[in-house]
Amino acid sequence: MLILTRKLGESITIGDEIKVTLLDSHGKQVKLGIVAPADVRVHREEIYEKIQEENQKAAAVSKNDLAEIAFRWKKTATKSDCKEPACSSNIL
Amino acid sequence: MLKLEERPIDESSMVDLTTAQFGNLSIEKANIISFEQGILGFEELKQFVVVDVEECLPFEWLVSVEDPAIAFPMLNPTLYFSDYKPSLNKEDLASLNIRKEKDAEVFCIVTLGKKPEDVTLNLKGPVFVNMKTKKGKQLVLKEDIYSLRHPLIRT
Repeated sequence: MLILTRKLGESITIGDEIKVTLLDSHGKQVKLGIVAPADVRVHREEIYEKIQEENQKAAAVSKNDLAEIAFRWKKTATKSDCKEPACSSNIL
Repeated sequence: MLKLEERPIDESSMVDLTTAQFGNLSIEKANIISFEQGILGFEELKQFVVVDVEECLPFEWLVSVEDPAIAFPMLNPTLYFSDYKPSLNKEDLASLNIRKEKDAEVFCIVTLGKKPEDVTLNLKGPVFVNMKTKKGKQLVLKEDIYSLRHPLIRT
C-alpha cells in the first residue's frame, strides 16, 4: 500500500482524472472531497462489505424455505381474489 | 432460464450439474451467463445459470456452474416495484453490452430472516443480465433511496 501524508486542503491524484482532497479533520474523522469522472463508482467501503454479507446470507437460503415463502405468498394472493401476488393487500 | 426445446439436443452443448438442492441439472451451454467480476463476496465464480424451480416461483435461482453448491435466490423487482428504476453509468452499460437499462433483465437477490415474513430484497445491489449476450454483473447503485434489505412483505 502506498502511504502518503497530507495536510488539510492538500490532494492526491490518481491517474489523470481522479483527485482526492483532504477537506477537514475532526478527531478520528476526516472529510474527503473526491473529483472523479461520472462513470467511476465511488462508494464507502462498507456498502461493498454489506452487499457481500447479503450475498453470503442469500447463498445459505434453502430451496425448501424459499418454496414455503412462495407458497404462502401465492396463497395470500389467491385469497385476495387477484392473480398477481403484488395485488394482495398485505404484501408490498 | 432453462427451457425445453423441441429440437434434438446435441449432448456436447449440455453441461450436467450435480446439486444438493436441485438434484441433477442438465443445462445448455448457451444459457450460461458470464459474470466477469463474479458476484460480490464470490468473485472467483464467473459462470452462472438461471434456474426456475416450480415450487419456488416467482423466485428464481442463480446457480453457479463452477460450484453448484452456491445458488442465490432472486426475484425480478420490476414486477412488484413499478417505480424501481436504477440508473446505470456508462461503464456498467458498456460492460453489459447494452445501451439502456431496459435492454437487460434485472434481478434482486433475496435473503430470508428468522421469521418467514422477514424476506428482503437487495435493491441496492441488483444483478443485471443481458440475456442476448449472456453477460451479467452485480452492480452497486449510487441512489441512496434503494435499500440493501428492502422488506418484501409488509407487516
